[in-house]
Amino acid sequence: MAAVVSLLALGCATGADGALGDSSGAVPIVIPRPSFTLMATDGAPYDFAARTAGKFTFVEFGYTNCPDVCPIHLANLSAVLANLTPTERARTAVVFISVDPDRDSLAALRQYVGAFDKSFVGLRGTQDEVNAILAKFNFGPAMITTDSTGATFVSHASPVVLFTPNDTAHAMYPFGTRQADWARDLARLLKEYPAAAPTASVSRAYVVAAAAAPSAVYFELESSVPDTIVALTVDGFGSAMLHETSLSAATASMAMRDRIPVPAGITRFAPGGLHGMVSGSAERSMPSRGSAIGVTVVLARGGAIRAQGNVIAFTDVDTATALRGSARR
Amino acid sequence: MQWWCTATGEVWTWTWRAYPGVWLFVALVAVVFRRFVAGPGSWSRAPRAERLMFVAGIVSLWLSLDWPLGPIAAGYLTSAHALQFLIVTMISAPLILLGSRTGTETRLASLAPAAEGEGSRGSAAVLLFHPIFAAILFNIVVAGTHVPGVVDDLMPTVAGAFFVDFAWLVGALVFWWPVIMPVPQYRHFGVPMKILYLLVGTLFHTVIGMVMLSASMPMYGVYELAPPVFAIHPKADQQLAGGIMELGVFLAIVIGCGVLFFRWAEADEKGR
Repeated sequence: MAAVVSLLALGCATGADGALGDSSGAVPIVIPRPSFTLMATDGAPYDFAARTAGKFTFVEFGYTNCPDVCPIHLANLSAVLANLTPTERARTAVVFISVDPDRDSLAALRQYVGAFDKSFVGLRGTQDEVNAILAKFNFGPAMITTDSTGATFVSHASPVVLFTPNDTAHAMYPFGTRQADWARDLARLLKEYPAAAPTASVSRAYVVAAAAAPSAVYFELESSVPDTIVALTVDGFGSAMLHETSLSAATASMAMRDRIPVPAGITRFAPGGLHGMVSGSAERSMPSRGSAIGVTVVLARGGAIRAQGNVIAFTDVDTATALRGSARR
Repeated sequence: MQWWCTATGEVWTWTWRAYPGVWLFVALVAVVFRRFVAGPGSWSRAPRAERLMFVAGIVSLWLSLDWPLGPIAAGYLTSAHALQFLIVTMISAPLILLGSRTGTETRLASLAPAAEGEGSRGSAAVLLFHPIFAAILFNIVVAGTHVPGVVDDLMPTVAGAFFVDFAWLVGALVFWWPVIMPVPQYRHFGVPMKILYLLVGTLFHTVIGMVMLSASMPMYGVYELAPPVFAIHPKADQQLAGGIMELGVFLAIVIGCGVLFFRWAEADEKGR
């Protein structure tokens, strides 16, 4: 009989190890929490980044007439969140963004999301606004078509994107994700991100103005906890890579790195060690020397850290950074 | 048109759909029992009440497997799945057997000397009707067809969904056989033993019902991720299924035991 109970319980089993969502088919992603404002179901503008900052935020794009995927996701999320403690529940938010604003009035949206959970937030914007937000999630635009019988068909991205308190999404959950998957990942994340989220900052950021791409990027990163740099972006450049220069005897070699673990404290990205390389600025000319430029470092735990950098000439690198030879600390 | 009811993942509508495999299967069960189990001519010899029970058994089997309960049970609601299980195993199977006693009893009686005289061949022929074997087989079927991975893998396919329904019916027929059909070799299997057999033999139903009632999350992906029907949440649906398993099967067994007891008491009274 014990064997039968064990077999029956298999469907509720949760894994203790492995990556986020590794058994649920969740797709790993890295997306900084986007900034946008849409009208909420309470009739007031909802500043997404500000209102959900520091919270585990589930974002779903859908529509109230959706017959399958949207209600299944919302019902399952509602059931999982109902099992959290009030403190944990206060650290989560579910935001449902309508991709069918013509049919989804704020009243209809309010009734729809409220049927699952009164705390769920429904947002509505114009089709263009919503499509622009979809693009920020790397999703394609919603497609709404009507056939000869007048039936409306809505095609849209269905995965649920989960942002962690560090303002970064690490995974999106496609249709097929079960309550056990959400619960397991959420339990792990709640432990991983205790109420006081880790802090990180970027300072002394410089982009070297080179006549021909690529150009080097240097900065200092300070993190309160051990973390991992997973991405680097520089405004105006198509791509930014993480590199590490190794010095041995009289030769120097440079290798590209997908992820760079960093210890708690300050890590310096400087000539002769860790640094970034940017390219893909062909569509616009290199910013002039001395001009400001935005640099964003994305950390696995610390999230997206944005800093204002300066464009410097190659000859000014030593003076600006004054860090040659001290790659990491 | 689809051969058998499966979990399609399609949005549920109340538009009637044909499942010819169900009709064929139910007709086949009726023919097999009348022609090969009870034997030719048994229908005309059977009392009216017995014929009514057979018809009720076949009709209930058809209603449980066909639209709308069949497809809802296959791919939308755990509670409908449990109701279907309850009808097939606790209503249809015993009614079909009760409706086939005339003829079958004669054939079983004729099997006795042959079985006794033919050693292992005879033993093998009646092994199927041994209460312990029947109870074990039925509980293996019940437990096996309720394992989440098995349900999730089988219900989306025609062959898998058919196998589950077929296994339920065969398992239940084998389970009820020692109670309803007198097997000459097991004359010692009297009414008190039959009552005990029914109570112990359905113990796994209670376990499954308890697990469904107490599970913190839906056990079956096929129902958890099904398009919503009747606006019932998957967990509440599963708890309802657990309740059906607990109360429904308990009621069926209590009724079965009650009938056995009162008939036994009645026969005892006449014997005095």
